[in-house]
Amino acid sequence: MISATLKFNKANWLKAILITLAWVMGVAYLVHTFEPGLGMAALDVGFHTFLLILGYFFLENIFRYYTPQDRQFLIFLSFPLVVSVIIFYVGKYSIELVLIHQQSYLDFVKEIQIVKLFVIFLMVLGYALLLLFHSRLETQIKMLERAEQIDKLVKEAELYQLRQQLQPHFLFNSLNSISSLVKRKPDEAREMVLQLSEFLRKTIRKENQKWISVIEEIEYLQLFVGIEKVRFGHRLEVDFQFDENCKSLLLPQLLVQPLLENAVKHGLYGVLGAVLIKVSFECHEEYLFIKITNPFDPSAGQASGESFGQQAIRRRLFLLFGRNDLFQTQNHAEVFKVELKIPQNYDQNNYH
Amino acid sequence: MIKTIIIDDEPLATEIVLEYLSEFEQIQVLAVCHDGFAGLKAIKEYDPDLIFLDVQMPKITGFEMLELLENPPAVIFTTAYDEYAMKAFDTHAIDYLLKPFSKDRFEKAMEKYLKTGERVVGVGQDVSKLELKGPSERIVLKDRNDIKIIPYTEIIYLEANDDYVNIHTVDGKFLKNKTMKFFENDLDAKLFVRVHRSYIVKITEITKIESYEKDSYIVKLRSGESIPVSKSGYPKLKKVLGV
Repeated sequence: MISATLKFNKANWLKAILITLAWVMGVAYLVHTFEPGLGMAALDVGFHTFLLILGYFFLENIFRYYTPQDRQFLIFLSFPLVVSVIIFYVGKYSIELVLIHQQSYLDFVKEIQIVKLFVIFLMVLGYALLLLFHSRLETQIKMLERAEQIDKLVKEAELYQLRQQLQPHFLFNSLNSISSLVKRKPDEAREMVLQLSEFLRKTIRKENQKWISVIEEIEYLQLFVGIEKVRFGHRLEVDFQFDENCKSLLLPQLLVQPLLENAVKHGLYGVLGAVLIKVSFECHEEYLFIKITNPFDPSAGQASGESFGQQAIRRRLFLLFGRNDLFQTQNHAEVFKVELKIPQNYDQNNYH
Repeated sequence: MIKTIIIDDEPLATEIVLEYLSEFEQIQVLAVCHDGFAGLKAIKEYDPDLIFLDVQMPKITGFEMLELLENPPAVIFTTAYDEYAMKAFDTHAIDYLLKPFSKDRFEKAMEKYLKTGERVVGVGQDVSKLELKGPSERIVLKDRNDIKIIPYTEIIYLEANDDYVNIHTVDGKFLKNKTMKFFENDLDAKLFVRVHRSYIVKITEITKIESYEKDSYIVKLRSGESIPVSKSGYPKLKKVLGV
């Protein structure tokens, strides 16, 4: 707090000096009522006040680097004790040295020295407690801020997921396909309605927090691909591959589908003619690797950098695992590749 | 007969337009195309009166395709993206059909077209001079017989040329029928500065700013070229460069 006074503007400095002066004069007057000699009392109290401020400064610097924990009360107490003893003795010998000829005053001081030591200790302890309280408060505020930030990120991710679930363009275009089929090819229209319903149901299922197996994820992705193939069947081919021994590994939901949708979109809109998308699930050591590739045309002026969708995936992975190295993208020879790494030695019921 | 072309990358989407159109006897569908390039070719070949046009298509969008036409036909947009509606009406489209659309809605659009008459006057000019908000990130233009797509990232500088703009890139110089004002608004203002009435420069291409006569400056580019800086352009340049 004294360090804060260093940053005071002039008006605040003036106030601090006035308060200190009022304090010194007040206590000096009090001492004067017991032992006449206002000048000496003022000198004595002024000097002790100066020592007290030095002591405060010292304490503040200690507690800036060291915050005693709950059970270390004795350690916490020892700092103000040491500081007040030092103030007491420095004050005592200095006053004795300066007022060497004022025997009656010195006798009076000697009489009340226990009280004096106690008062100094109380003052220093009070300040130490204040500092402790302040630092606790600050830590708490910081913790609160961090919690708020995490909360915000989670909400954003959820919002993105929600938007991803709704996928208005995908939905409207699919409905348009159904509208087109319904009269001429009613069986195909019904098939598409069923596929779309199943896909939507799986997308908005309630236990989104739970992890699902690779095989379940592939089934879900194939539903999506089935619908896209009704729309783009003449151009779109999606090839799924997975290692037999990865089949039952688990992964968080709705992580791969947005990436596949992105790959389909960029493939279909980035190049002319046939589009082959490859999706593979592999496992090595403690990771499940998911790779998705799509063709793209580097000369077509696709926006560079990470899309909002990719950033959202990256953030979600960070929220899940606290790591930033689990999602990679690569642009190579007209093929765009994304790679996800899902750690397997992880608490798979913990969503965030 | 009204010559018509349908351009949409989803076959089922073109089929429903065909189905609805089958009741209009005066309509003659000459081609169904699945991307903007095929669309351009068909428009050149058949010179249609009316086109049905999707927005999101492979390589170039419906809007970009329209920009490349000197004398575009009447357009009815068909898309699932309602955020393009404003832009579509700015191009003086006849109508804007949101997928999926009903037969009634489709017929209304057709009525509108039949009432306004064959071609909407002035569509061509309006499309080319569109000053739309929202960055488009790339320029699509005709380079002799090819269609060239230039991402904004490849622009070195732009130079006014009457009603056109010369786009200077590493691959050379290209002509686009848009205004300097359009590019000034559309390009990333942190990267591109209009240093002169006739020039917009990408700041990362600048190697040196030299004073040139009294009160005027020129910038030297990495390519070795020099660009004049006007009195009002100099403070803008300094601000973006942070000097």
